Amino acid sequence: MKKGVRAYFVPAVVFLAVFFYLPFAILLLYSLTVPEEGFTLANYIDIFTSRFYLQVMGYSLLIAVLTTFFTLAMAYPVAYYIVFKAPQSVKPVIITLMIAPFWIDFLLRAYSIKVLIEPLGMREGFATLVYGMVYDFFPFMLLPLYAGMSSVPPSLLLSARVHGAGGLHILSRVLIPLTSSSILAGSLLVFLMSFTEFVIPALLGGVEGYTIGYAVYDLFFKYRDIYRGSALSIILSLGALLGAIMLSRRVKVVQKMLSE
Amino acid sequence: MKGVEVRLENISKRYGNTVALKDVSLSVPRGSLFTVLGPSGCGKSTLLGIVAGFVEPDKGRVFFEGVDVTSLPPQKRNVGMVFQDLALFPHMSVFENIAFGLRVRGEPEQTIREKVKRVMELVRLDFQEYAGRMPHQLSGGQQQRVALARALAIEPRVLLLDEPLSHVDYSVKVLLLEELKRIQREAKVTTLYVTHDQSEAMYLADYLAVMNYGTLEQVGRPEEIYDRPVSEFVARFFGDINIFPGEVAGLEASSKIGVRLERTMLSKKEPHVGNGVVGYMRGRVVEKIFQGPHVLLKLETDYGSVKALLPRSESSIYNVGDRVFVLVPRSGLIVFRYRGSGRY
Amino acid sequence: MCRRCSPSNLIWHSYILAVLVFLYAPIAVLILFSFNESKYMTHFTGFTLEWYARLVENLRILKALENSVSIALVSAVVSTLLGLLAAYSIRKAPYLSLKLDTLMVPPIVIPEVAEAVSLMMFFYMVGAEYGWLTVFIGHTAFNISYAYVTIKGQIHSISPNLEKIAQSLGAGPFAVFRRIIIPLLTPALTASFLVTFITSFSDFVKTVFTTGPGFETLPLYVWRVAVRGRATPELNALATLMILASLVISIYYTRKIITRLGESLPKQV
Ligand SMILES: Nc1ncnc2c1ncn2[C@@H]1O[C@H](COP(=O)(O)OP(=O)(O)O)[C@@H](O)[C@H]1O
Ligand SMILES: [Mg+2]
Repeated sequence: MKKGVRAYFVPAVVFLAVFFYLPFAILLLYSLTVPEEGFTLANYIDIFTSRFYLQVMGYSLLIAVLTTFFTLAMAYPVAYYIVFKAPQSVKPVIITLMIAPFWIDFLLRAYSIKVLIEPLGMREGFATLVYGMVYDFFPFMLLPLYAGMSSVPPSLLLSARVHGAGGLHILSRVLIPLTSSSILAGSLLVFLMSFTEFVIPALLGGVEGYTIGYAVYDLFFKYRDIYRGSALSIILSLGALLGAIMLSRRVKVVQKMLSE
Repeated sequence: MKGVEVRLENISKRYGNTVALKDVSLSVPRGSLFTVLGPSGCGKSTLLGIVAGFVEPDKGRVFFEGVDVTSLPPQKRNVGMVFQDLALFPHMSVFENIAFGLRVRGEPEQTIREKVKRVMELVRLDFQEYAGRMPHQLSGGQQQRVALARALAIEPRVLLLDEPLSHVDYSVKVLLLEELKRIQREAKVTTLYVTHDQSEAMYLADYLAVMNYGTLEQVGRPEEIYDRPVSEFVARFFGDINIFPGEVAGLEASSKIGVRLERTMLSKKEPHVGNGVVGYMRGRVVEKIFQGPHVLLKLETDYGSVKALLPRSESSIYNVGDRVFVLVPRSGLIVFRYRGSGRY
Repeated sequence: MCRRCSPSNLIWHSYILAVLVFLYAPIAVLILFSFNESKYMTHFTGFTLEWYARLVENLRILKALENSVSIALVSAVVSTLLGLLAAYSIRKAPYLSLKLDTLMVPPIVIPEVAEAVSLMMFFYMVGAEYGWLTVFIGHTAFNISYAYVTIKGQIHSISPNLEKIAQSLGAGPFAVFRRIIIPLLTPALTASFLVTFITSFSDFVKTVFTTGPGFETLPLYVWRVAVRGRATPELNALATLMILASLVISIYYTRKIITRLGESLPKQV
């Protein structure tokens, strides 16, 4: 019986092996292929030496950094407010309202921005695009921050205050260190998603909406260049994996520091 | 409810390089309250796990009433258990917790209700008031009672208690120990009670086993083990004792002698050896601790520190700083021979 | 003393209000224009339900809705089930935990667009017919990972002694699973089900790469109408209905799951 239970992971693993890992292996294979030349790193070299792709990557990076910064700056005080400041009576309402957009279709939220800018007289472009990104990714930042903030013992803040620490001091010496792993988690999540996002830029960016995710889309659907498209996808994936691994190290280190 | 005789034969269990149990044999008489006492990590929980069927022994067999149950899975053994963390089902009411075992047995609703009522009465929990409560709405002591009632509801053949009281405050503990003893007598269920706390063991046990490093060092009635411990470890773990090198009593140097605190005598005059006294040493009173009917004196001697427990009336002549003689009486003298690897 | 109206609290409340306006203004405008008589979204000219009437007659939208719901439902059920089984097997064999994590987490981390193109090529190579099944598979690979991580997080907090006690009371492995594990996992299972459902329901990227001609989900429809043309009142009506449905889920979810996160601690510093 025990042996049987242990094997319960098999269906999930088989599903992922066939429909995630195998496709990825194929992607990897294509990325290393040039027709009539065989195996080569040429696709990767092309991308890394192409001004165009480097520029698009830099541009996407900028968008991702701005999005991460603004969502963090907006969500952090909100998380603090919900956990430590909100009157008990309205707390559930505020939590619900803050998190509700998470449940609204991603595309619809971007679309609602599109509807909004028309009567406001705004135009599609870089600013609208970043606005849409911040709008769409806000709940993904708030959730981990809220979870992290909830596990900060209020007594710590209180004792810091009793010892005469000022607001800024408490923030930088107590609150931020204690919530640093959720800050990192939320930021990485938002950063990774916004870096490769292409629906929002396409919808709200107008001619300024060309990001790296869009470039992948174009390589496959417009230029039908699956080889370079694969290489670009692999580059993005490895970058994301690397970021996640670094994050999990950092989070572990922080947790260790806190537990000592 | 009727308990069975539980017998373990040559049980061994290792986890990797850790030896949790080494050739343990044990017989628990039907209906008795048997306590296993030992320091943390000595294998107590493993032993209970083997009786319950959660842990498969590497070697040896388990018998209930002479029937080999070694390969019977836990759900077929009809064993009641209470853990230190109690493990009440947090999503079920008191009633449902207690009824759990009866429900999985498919007993009819009417019977379940009657039986739950009966065990709640047995553990003295008011049915009207508590049956509908959730575990988190109970005090620690009430939770203990529910855990016990749940284990008893299935009319188990054996009741296993794994340090159930080690998180409980002293005052509540005393009360619950008394209750436990009463309930066990009323239910007449064979009970294995495991603890690292000698006062619990002393209070409860019909029979006692003292355990160390996966072996049973000594099994017997509590008085027997207290008066005639087979090793220094048992003597120290079950009650307090003064230990001296053998030469104090004129024995060979490769043994040690022990004297319980209440048997340790003091004198202001230099005593004679002989006439009930086998040896003595010089010492000085360094501390005097009032303990109600008794006074505990701590002394420094040529052979290390010594403690003596005197009736209050006899203690008044000794004060801190006094020079005294510590007498080793013949009655109450316990000899520990060397058993190898630094142990006596 | 009025604590609530001290200057610092005033700043706090205005800040929260501002964030709420930021979050809800676009939605409010969208809802407003779904009732707008005029086709153009610059002025509100009068109230009408015409767009809703058109919506329910629009067979293309209804079909897309049906596709989205059926895929999301099946994907949520399958992934939550597989995630549960995988997380439960870890409980029985903790030494597998790290290995299984390593296998299960990448789908969450890898950019969706990369996963989508890899699936597209895979389906092309095996000669699959693009449609319901391919879209379903694409959604579910990610969802399984999500379900696993969510459920595993909570399964850890169930004391093994609960299972042992249940077993000693006569419960076999299945009874333990059904009467102890499942009830105690309800929050995680609910969270997993709802999140995987909504992820699948609103997924665009993987869908666009794995769908075939004639197979449309709601996000695909929204995309095609919103990007090609402009925002239309009919689309606003659809969006309004979907937003209302989302709010209902959200309220349910917050009640059931989120408030538990912070419940145990006393608040107010
Ligand atoms: N599942 C296990 N895996 C590895 N080692 C274990 C396991 N269970 C117990 N041990 C080891 O076996 C020894 C006895 O443990 P246990 O029976 O729990 O002792 P006690 O209950 O007396 O504290 C300890 O050294 C413990 O670390
Ligand atoms: Mg133990």
